Amino acid sequence: MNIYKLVLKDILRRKKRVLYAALGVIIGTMTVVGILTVAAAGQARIINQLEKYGPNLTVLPAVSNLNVTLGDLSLGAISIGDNYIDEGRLPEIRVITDGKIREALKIEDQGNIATIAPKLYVNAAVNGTNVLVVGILPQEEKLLRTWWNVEQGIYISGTNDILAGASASELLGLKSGDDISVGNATFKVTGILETTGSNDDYQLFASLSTLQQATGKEGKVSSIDIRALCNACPVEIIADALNGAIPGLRAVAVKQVAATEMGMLERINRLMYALAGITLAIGAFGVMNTMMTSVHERIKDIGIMRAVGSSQRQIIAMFLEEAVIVGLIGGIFGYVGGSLLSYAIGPLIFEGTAVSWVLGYFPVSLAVAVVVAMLATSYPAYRATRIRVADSFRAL
Amino acid sequence: MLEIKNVSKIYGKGESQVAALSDVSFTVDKGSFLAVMGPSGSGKSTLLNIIGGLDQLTSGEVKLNSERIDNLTENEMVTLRRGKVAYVFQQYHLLPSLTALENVLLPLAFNRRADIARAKEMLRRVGLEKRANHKPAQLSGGEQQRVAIARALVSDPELILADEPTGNMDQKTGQEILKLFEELNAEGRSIVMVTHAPEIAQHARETLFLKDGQLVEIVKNSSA
Repeated sequence: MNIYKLVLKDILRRKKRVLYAALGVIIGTMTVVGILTVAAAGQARIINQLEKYGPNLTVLPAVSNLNVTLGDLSLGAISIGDNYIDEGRLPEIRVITDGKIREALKIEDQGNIATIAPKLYVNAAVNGTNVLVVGILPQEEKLLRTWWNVEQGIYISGTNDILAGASASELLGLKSGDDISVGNATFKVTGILETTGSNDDYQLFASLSTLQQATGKEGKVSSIDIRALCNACPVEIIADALNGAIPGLRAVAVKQVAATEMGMLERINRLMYALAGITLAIGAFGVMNTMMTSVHERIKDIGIMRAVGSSQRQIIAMFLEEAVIVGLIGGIFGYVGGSLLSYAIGPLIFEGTAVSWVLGYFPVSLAVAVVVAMLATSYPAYRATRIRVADSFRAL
Repeated sequence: MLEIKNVSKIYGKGESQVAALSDVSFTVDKGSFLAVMGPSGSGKSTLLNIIGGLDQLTSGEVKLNSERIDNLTENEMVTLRRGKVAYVFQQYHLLPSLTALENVLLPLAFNRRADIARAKEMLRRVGLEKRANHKPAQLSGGEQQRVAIARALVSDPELILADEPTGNMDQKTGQEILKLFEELNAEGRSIVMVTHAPEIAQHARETLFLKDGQLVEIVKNSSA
């Protein structure tokens, strides 16, 4: 028998008291784990949304409208500048964009980082109806529009393949396998996109170079979408750099709704952490209270132990051992309870978000619970060592 | 071996001061069996607690084997309790969650030399080997006191301090416990026993009389 076994025996005799102490820790850790899990789910959802927002930057030709007036008489507006961007600018744009990202993220990698997707918009009559045909680089565009799903057929692979938006295919009566002509080229519809709820539904998508040749717009693109692969990328800085370095184009940082949402989440998280902290503190107070009662109830036992040769350190060690057990019980049940709690309330906070168990929070939960229980026990344990043997016997 | 010199103990402060012991001096030789007698409130238990370091004195000195033990540090006190001095109480003071054997083992456990064989031997010594796995609540008063004595013996003390060890039991059981003390004394252990009953004090070799915290006399007992 050693003193640790002695503590275990004593705990078994006072199961209720120990569980009561553990309850304080359970509630505290449950809140912490619940909040962490819900926050993680929210974060994942927002990052997911960020990806769906597509490009972080759009580069357009620098076209400006000038109002022409004669005295008070308005003569309308005239556009100044080219309506297209020269494809030859693409390498330059890549160098600037990747350079800024490398600077911001402090990475050395020399490969391509950002996804750069040039497009050419062409108005064409298909089956007698005017429709917007978009020339794209199929691979780049796919990276950008992660939400695209081909409903019928397959995604563009060949030079004369064309992909139809859901509404466009309906309006034009297009099916997978149909042939259509745009400009002086003939395309084959290889696939129909699922409804996206955006303008994409009304457009046709073809290979950029084929469309350029078919419409006599070789080397020209209408706009370029750029997506940096990170959420922390400095899109405004990249836009400024592009505008400063390359004349004739206008780079615009796409307003990041998701980023604002992220900021909101950050604030909510901070509030919830504060709440978790308070709950933990209350739990700790409960543990301290119970332990204090426990010390009081065991004044005589402590006196006996002191009389038969226990040192003050051994008394403290015994109480801390009890605290560790209380903490472990609290940590285990707190983790399970917190996970269940977040599973229940997560979807209420972030509609439709599936909350998953985060196993990584289990050690966190155990550590938090044990530390809190030990801190809360330290004062009662100290008080226990102050008990004088003669007084302890007189008290009862 | 034990030297008590001008020991006083005052409880309280100012006008509410009560002197539990005033200027008590005596010596106890090695191998003695001293009974401390006196009416209740005469300071007998206080004296015993001070000798054993369970309580602090207000003035004076307590020496064990010529070394002062009234001003020991916490750690020195722990060492003393693990070795030379052991207590036996009127209320037995066993830990209720532990079996008889574990209670006897307790001092060894705190001293990190848990020797079950030795603990069993001590239980046999007090005639309770068959009760080793019983909890205190399952034992009679006399049996509990035997466990307490076995616990006191397990660390092989030179001096046993007993506070009314038979105070809670009938005469027959009390006689058996006292016989046990006589045997321990015969082995060469010194015993200081507090009692308020003359017939119990008769079992000791000497009797010290206290009254109102003052030493009245020390008498050699004829029958012992």
